[in-house]
Amino acid sequence: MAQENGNGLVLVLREQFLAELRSVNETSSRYGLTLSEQGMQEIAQARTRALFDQGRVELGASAVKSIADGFCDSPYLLQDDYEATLLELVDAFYYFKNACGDQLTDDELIQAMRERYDAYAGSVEAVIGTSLEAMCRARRFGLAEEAVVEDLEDEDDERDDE
Amino acid sequence: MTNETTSNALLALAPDAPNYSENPEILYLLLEERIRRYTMGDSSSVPVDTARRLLESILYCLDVQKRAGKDALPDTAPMKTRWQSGVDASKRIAKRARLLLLQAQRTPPPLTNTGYCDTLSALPAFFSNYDPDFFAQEIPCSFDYPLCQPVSDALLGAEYIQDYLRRLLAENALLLAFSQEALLSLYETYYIDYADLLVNLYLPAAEMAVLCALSDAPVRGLKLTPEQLLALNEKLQKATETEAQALIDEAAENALFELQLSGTFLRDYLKKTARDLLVRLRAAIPQ
Repeated sequence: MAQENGNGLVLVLREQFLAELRSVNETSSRYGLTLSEQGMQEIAQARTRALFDQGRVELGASAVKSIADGFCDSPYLLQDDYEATLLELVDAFYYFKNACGDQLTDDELIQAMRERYDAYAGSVEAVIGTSLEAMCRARRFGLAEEAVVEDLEDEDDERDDE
Repeated sequence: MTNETTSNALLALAPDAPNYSENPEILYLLLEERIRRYTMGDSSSVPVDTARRLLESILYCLDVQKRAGKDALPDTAPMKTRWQSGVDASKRIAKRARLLLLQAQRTPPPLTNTGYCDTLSALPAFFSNYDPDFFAQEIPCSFDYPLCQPVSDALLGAEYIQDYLRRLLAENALLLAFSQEALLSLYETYYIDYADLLVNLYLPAAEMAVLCALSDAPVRGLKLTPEQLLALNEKLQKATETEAQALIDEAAENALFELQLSGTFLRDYLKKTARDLLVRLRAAIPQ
């Protein structure tokens, strides 16, 4: 009993996080996506690792639910890749959160990642491989990233011509 | 994993925080709430450094309220109530410190130097940047004028600034009792370039005032002849440690009386300076 009490906070937090993930299933199942219990455990570990690697602290509600909710209606996200994709997106999310110096809110960042993900037909590599600047610039101008890059290249060419 | 583990995890965030006996689980929940407020719900996570600063602020506020004397809440009061009381206390201290700054700006010493002026220009930034709700333990401004008796490193946040200004005002009060000419002549002998060096302006005046009082010379003159210095040397050489201490304490009292200055803080401050001088003087006297 004493051991149980001692474990209190840790167990409660873990259970809270898993409950969050289970509630994700309620929404995502409408799009044919569900997380298995095993998948949830893996995501819990991935989140802990990502937070540690990025030197961040997350107490209370986690961003993982928002990430899952933000991506579950993407036409490119399929059940076969769902868990693996979510694992990578969680990693990328905390990386970008640091990279932007907390200047973007969770929702803004998730939206930017989602736009990039959809623009590249569901490529997680495209999300991970991009720079935050490129992702935000494309979002700010409401353009596909290539268009922004082309614009910038045109500007460079014009300057060179002068 | 036990309560101790939670406590250790929190201590890992704030290893320099003072020892605390708070319930780590409630502390965790309060930290969670503060993080949520800090990010205004825009972000579920914060960098470790931010979490550490927020935790240190909570612990500092709990400590401030604990030291609030008769106003302190009992340890049995909810942690959040005690923390809020600490935040309110920090705000009150900051308000009092702001009044001290205004007083310092209104009553500058007859002579100032670059370090002094830069510090008085820098201190207002503290009051515009101080954020007791989240970072009550921080001192968000930079100043470097050295006090004769520095503030204890144990003080943080508004408490540090308040004590710094109290000490600065005590120093100014003594300096204001002297003429510009007397101070200038003293500084030129003592520091050579008092205006540009990062030096304390009170120390030479306080020491010389005590020495003058000890020699029965006019304190306001801030001057002793070589003969008077020699006589002083002999006087201190003959005295035992206890006698010398009594002599220097009495000299400090006499100096303040002659300068028509009073106040416990001012008296203690001058006595402390005088005793430090005595240590140096006796160390210099050949045994």
